[in-house]
Amino acid sequence: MIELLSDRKILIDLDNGIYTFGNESASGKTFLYKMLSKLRSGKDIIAITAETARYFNSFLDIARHDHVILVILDRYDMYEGKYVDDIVTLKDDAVILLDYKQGDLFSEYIQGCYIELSESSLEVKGYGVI
Amino acid sequence: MLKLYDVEDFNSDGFDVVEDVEEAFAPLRLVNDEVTANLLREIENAEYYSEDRVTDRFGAQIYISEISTGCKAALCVQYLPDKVIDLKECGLNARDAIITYCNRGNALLYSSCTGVESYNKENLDIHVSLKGKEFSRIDDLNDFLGSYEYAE
Repeated sequence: MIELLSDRKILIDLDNGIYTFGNESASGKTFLYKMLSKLRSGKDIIAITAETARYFNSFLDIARHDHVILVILDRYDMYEGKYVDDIVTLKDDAVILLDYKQGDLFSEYIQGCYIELSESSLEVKGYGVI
Repeated sequence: MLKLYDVEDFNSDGFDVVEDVEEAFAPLRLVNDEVTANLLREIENAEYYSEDRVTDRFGAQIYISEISTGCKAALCVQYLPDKVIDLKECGLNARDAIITYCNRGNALLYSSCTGVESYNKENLDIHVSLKGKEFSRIDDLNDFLGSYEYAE
């Protein structure tokens, strides 16, 4: 369980691994990304979206150096195929959350998760293997 | 009429395709009309507040930059009828809302084998074309999607 304090309390109730959210819009994925981006100063979180993905080709060295525990890749359909080695390499050491709707990369590793959003908290929970 | 194109056989020659919905939506402002209200309610559980804000599901006013990418895609379909909006970032709920409520524009469809949610919408008129056929009922579109999948 990863617990973080932001505008809302954030709870990530997942074991290390690669997770994708269900194929639903407005569930809170980008909202979660934005909250985690603000927490970047904590250094143990990496938050990437389509705009920031243009500027670097790997996050693995940073993840290793900063002992990252949580990675979120928002809008991954826009840069599908990037960071594949990083994601697979890091999957046993961190929770990796993918906003990824159309493709089937990582299908052998990927698990499902969903967001429960309230006025005071945002909780990410797992479905198990999909 | 909303024109749908299947990504599997779409040829982009001659079309202005919007792949980055966030970028395309950034300069837009909301129109206080029925389509906008339907899309905001159905996808975002939100309501129109002003041209640059909505009331979110918790009753707070938020800037439209904060709404979901899927809802932005839906609004782009309606507001940018000369472009083809790529729906690859849309969840199925946003895709279904576009098909149900947009009455103009163009959208590049993924997951075309997955039927459109029709619960409680059996009597709604839709205004959709796909592969040269026009549809005014969700159930007719779903029948076509099912037969198309079967033919594939």
